[in-house]
Amino acid sequence: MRYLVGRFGHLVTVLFLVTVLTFLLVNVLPGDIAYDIAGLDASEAEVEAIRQDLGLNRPFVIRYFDWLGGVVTGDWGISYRTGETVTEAILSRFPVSLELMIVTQLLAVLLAVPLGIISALRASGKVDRVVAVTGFFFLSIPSFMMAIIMIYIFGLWLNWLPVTGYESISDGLWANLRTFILPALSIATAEWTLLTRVLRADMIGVLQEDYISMARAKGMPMARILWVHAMRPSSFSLITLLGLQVGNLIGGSIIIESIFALPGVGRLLITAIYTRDFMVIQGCVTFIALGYVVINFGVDMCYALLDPRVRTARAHG
Amino acid sequence: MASTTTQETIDHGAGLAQENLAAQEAARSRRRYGLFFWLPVAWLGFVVFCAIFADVLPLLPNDEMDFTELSLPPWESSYVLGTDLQGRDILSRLIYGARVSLTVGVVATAIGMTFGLVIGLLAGYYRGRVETMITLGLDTVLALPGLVLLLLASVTFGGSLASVSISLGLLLIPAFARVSRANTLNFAQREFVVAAKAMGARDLRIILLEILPNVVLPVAAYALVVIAFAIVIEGALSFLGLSVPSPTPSWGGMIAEGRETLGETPHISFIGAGVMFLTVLSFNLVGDTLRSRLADLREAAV
Repeated sequence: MRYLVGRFGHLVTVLFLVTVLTFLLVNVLPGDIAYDIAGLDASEAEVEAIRQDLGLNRPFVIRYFDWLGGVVTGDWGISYRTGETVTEAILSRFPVSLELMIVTQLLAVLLAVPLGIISALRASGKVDRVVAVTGFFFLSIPSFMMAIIMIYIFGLWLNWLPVTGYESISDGLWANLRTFILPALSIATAEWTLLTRVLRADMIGVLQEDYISMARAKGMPMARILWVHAMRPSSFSLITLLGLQVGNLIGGSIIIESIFALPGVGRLLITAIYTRDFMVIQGCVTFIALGYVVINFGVDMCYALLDPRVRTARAHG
Repeated sequence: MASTTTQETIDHGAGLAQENLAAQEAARSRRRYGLFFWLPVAWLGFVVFCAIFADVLPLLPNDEMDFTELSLPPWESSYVLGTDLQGRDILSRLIYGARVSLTVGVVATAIGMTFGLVIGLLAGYYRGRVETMITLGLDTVLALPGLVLLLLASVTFGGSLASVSISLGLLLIPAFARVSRANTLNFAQREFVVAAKAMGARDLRIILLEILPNVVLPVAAYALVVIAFAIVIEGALSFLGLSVPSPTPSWGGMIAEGRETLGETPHISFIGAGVMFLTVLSFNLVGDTLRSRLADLREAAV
């Protein structure tokens, strides 16, 4: 319980820090936002009116708490460029980012689990070494570079999949999924390596347990031993890592969304950065950071729930 | 009967000796750096050389547009690696781009390593309340989404070599601090530290002369992997056009530029991507080798 309270206090601290940092970075921007909105040929009076209207004349701290109050109550402000409310803009794009995240992790697991099992089965064998070396290579390919390679191979050369654009799910499940395969694959190709390593390490340990030898001695088929008896105790770290990666993905998919023109939160943020749409930048960064922090907190909590050792270790240390 | 036993014993002994030899051989080959170490080192040396002497090398100007020779493929003209969409020499842009990537990689890592070392040494040496405060601070910073903050910083301070290096460097501090702290903990209780304390050495002297020399090596090996990471992040930023402003060449920028015409002139993207990949891979390989080597040495010492 004390552990939980401690972690929760930490969560609140981090969340507060995130909002302060975001607000600070957006608001120390060189140049006056009011000039930006008014346009180049606006008169001084017009600029002053906009400043008045947005409350930019008020002291910095007051503006921060005003904005923070809005964030808490769900009023995240209005986009200077499109007039859309920021809350709406983000919520309407969030499902796309979420779907990308899910498809990515699914692909990563589909790659990682079989490879991890095979590697663990014959540790230091030929397959194990090939998998390890391949993984090392893929880790050195950043996702945006992999995206270019994917577009070239599957989009332009083989012409199998669309390279940009997005189909909503109302156009059919396959049409919708097709647009996610290449983006998700671009990220998953780097993710699976770490998952494989973690699963392999755990699996090697589990396969040396007595009950596994017992099952083998009884003549149980290897496939059944692996899937039924070895997989569950080995997947502990794997699941933790998956959760942590989801946190990273929220930020990491920004660049992929903009390459493949997927209308997610990341693309919204990048577009807002290019058009200097400050309210949207502020909103997106806060949203992404909140998601990141809360997910990491959740993973931490699950970890403590599943493994009592973590709770006591942290309480003591 | 007795003779067979003796024979067996001798055989067994020979077997043991052979096993011993084999073990020694294995240890020696583990100690020797293989091709996967020297090839990357050679490549990195080559890239660093080109980046440093870019102004002296016989290169075409990297920002001169030749409108009669747009998007030339490699090897077909006086432009060795061809030209990009605006008719600029790719080879020259590649080499000047290496300057950007290496500068950001090295400077950001140096910033992160310096501050991280100081923080980690303090936390690991003084323990107690200092450590608790520092750990809390580090956890907080690590809980923030780094890439997003970096994007924000590049908007706020404008993309330039200095601003990207500094903001990335600041974000790298917690990771270095953690590694330094872990290593410091390892040495802070050792006999030679206790001896120094008993002889009345001051804390600063102990930290600088007794602990730092032991901590700095593993941290430096880790730094090589971080340089690779920093180069990737810089690449992502310049890919988005948020790092150094054009027309300054950068690898990420070159990859982004060729994206528009990937079908017709793939070389524009792929040359930049290939060079960046090799460089990142090389840093990773060298860093990884040195790290496991140091771990082996420490195990041997214990």
